[in-house]
Amino acid sequence: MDAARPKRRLLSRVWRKIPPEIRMPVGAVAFVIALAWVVLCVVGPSIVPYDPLAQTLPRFSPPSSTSWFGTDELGRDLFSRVIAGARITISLALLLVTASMLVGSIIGVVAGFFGRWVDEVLMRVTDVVLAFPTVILAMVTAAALGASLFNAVLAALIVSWPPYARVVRSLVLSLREADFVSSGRLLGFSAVRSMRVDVLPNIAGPTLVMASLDIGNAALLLSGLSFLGLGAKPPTPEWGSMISAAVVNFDKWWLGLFPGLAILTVVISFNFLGDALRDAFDPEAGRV
Amino acid sequence: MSTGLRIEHLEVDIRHEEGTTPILRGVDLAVAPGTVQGLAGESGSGKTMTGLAAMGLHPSTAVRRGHVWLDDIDLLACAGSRLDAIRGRRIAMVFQDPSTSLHPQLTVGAQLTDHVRHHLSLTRSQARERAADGLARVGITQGVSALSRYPHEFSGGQRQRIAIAIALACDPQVVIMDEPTTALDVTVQAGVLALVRDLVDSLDLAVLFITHDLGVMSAIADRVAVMRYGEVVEDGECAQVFTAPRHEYTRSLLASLPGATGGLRTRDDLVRLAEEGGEE
Amino acid sequence: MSEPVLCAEDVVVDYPGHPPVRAVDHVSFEIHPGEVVGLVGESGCGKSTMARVLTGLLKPDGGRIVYRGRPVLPLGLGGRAKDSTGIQMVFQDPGSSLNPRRRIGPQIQDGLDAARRRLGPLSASDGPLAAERVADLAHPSRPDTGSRPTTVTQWLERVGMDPKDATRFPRSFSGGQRQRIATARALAAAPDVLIGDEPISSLDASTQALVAYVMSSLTVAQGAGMLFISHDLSVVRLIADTLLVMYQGRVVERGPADEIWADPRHPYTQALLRAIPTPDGARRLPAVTPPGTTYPREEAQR
Repeated sequence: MDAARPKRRLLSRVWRKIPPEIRMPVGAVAFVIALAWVVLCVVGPSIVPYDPLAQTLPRFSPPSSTSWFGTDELGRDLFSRVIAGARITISLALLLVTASMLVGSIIGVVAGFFGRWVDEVLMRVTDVVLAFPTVILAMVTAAALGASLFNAVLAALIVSWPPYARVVRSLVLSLREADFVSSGRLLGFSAVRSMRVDVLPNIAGPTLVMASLDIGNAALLLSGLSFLGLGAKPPTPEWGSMISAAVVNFDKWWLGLFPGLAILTVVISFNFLGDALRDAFDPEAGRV
Repeated sequence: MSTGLRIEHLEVDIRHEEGTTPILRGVDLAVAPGTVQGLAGESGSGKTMTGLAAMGLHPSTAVRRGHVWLDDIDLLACAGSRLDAIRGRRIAMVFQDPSTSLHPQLTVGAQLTDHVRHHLSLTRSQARERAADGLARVGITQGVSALSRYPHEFSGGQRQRIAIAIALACDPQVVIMDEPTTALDVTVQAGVLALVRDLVDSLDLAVLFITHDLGVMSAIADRVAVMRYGEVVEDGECAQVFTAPRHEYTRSLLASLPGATGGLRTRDDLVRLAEEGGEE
Repeated sequence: MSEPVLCAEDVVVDYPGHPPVRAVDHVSFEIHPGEVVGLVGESGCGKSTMARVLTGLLKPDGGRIVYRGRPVLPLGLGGRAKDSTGIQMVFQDPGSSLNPRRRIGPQIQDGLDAARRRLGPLSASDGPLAAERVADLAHPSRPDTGSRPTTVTQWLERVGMDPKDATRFPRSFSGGQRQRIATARALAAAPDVLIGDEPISSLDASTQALVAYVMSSLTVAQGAGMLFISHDLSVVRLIADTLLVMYQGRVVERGPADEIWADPRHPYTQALLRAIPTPDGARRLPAVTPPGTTYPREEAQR
């Protein structure tokens, strides 16, 4: 399971240093925030005070009791747009992570399972993708595909699956040598059965933990692409593109602050959540 | 004159999210100079924690209480640079697996001389000389050429000898050895045991020898303490513990061993033990 | 003497390298039904490699393994040949010999399933061993006789565990208990041969002899043969009928366990025996062989 280690973020390393008695509330707070964002994803659009697209309010009004986060350059309510943006950013981040995990795991399992030249070919492809800087490759791909949210997810997927493939492959390889896998084979398990019963259940935990740690990053990558104009197009309320619009009006602090805070809380809370999941999935520390 | 090591009512608790778990429940042990005090017990009995806690190498979640006296210094009351000056200089440790306790990417000479120069004010050449002498003392006789070699160039038995040489390099009074022969083959183990005995006698060392292997214990220890559930249940002369154990637990331990007094000598003994329902 | 159930015939295994390392060097031996063969030797002597070759987990570079008259084929991507599930193995590390994510009941059930698949609709024409099992399987309700357990519950009882344990995960058991479970799983497959690759060496000393006894006596009670691999001669000699001593990839001495223990002929076996410390309280250091001592690689004649 050590293969998942290098993937651990600085954030979670610091997190581990915090004594457990303080950690629990932090984990709980992170969980509540992450959960709140997920809930807002679902119910957000129906509880916002204004239509996030309606340009009916005064332009550039600072935060007030009527529009809590202020209004933007077109007179739209920023609070409504940030809440509506959760559905876009978080659901796309989840979609992206799920897709990367599936693609990467399938490639990793196939490489580890068949070995030899299949493994060679798949791992060299993985290396090639990994050799490019993530954001730049995603930008180039998104630009080539044309700016749209769907293409941004596709571009992000192309750069996000390789770490999963690598980790899953190494997990499969080390588990294939495990004694209980050998004894399964000695009891007559076919390679497929052995994979399904003995190998896959034992890599599911680490892979899911890796994915949950990746949700924040995925949100960041997608917002980044939108910020660069390669993802969501106006007037879609997407956090990255909202910040992008704020750049030209940098004296109106609320334009950038609130979408930025939204991204920040999503990234941090999902990272902590992933960390808590890892603790829970650890077979040694785990409960029956 | 050194009085060796005295552990007085050592308690260790491990803190965790649900509270604390006692690991050691008041361990008393004394290791006199020129003797080997054996510490035996099964996995989880606390024997290794006793050694680590005495050295201040316990995990950060552990809380210690009691005293570990090295002459008139209480090691439990030492910390920081004061502890650093004592540890490795006056009390040293040898671990189970020399392939992990030696630094794989530094030559044996570098590891020995660094250690010596850290504690003693010696010139580089004096330190090298001392290192070569140290290796010769543990039976690594290639002399100076051994100093420039890496741990992986030595066999497992030689590596453990090197680890012992490092522990002894600054002439400590007390050495704690935690399963020092467990990772070795029996024929190699015999050589290391003979070496330990020889060093104890010639250097007047006080050795706390921790092992689960009662055969090894019987060969090397002058006194034997038996631990269970974080407590010393028996502590006595080697011959007494093995031939006339006082505690029921020691008796049952010996009864389950091949070759021990009252232990398994033939297959029939084993059948009888199984029928009596030996428990784990 | 009965027909051997498993034969190693002139087995050679090389590990790649420059030059290749010969781990097993022309080793031949036989295991008969109801016989416990002890294989002892120190690290690097080739005993664990031999175990993997015998089960087909590793392909030998020379020689072959014959199981009930037919060669054992190495494992491929497909399932193991149905009849070779009659060779089972218990591994060294109790921490990895069971799948940590499955309850132990289903894992033992896998063993029973393997037995049913191999012995199939049992008929007495399958040879005397199968005929005996027909008789056993016909009376699954006899729990306490020498008969073969046919349910997970019976197997757990047979290895001295609580049947309620079937729903628990491996991590809630001690090392000794896990090795008992692994034994139950392997024996549930009704093997003709059980190979134990250092199955007791990571257990506490006080449980080693007992677990070794449980393992070997249950195997023999099934009419199967056993190869018990260990570096600890003092335990092996208590349970083994025959001993093989391996040194540098070769068998250097073989014979009845009691005879070798009492009168070792090969200089290596003699050194091995002398080096075992006895827990007698005599403070007697075991005999030291000078480092770098080499021994003849020819087998001693008895």
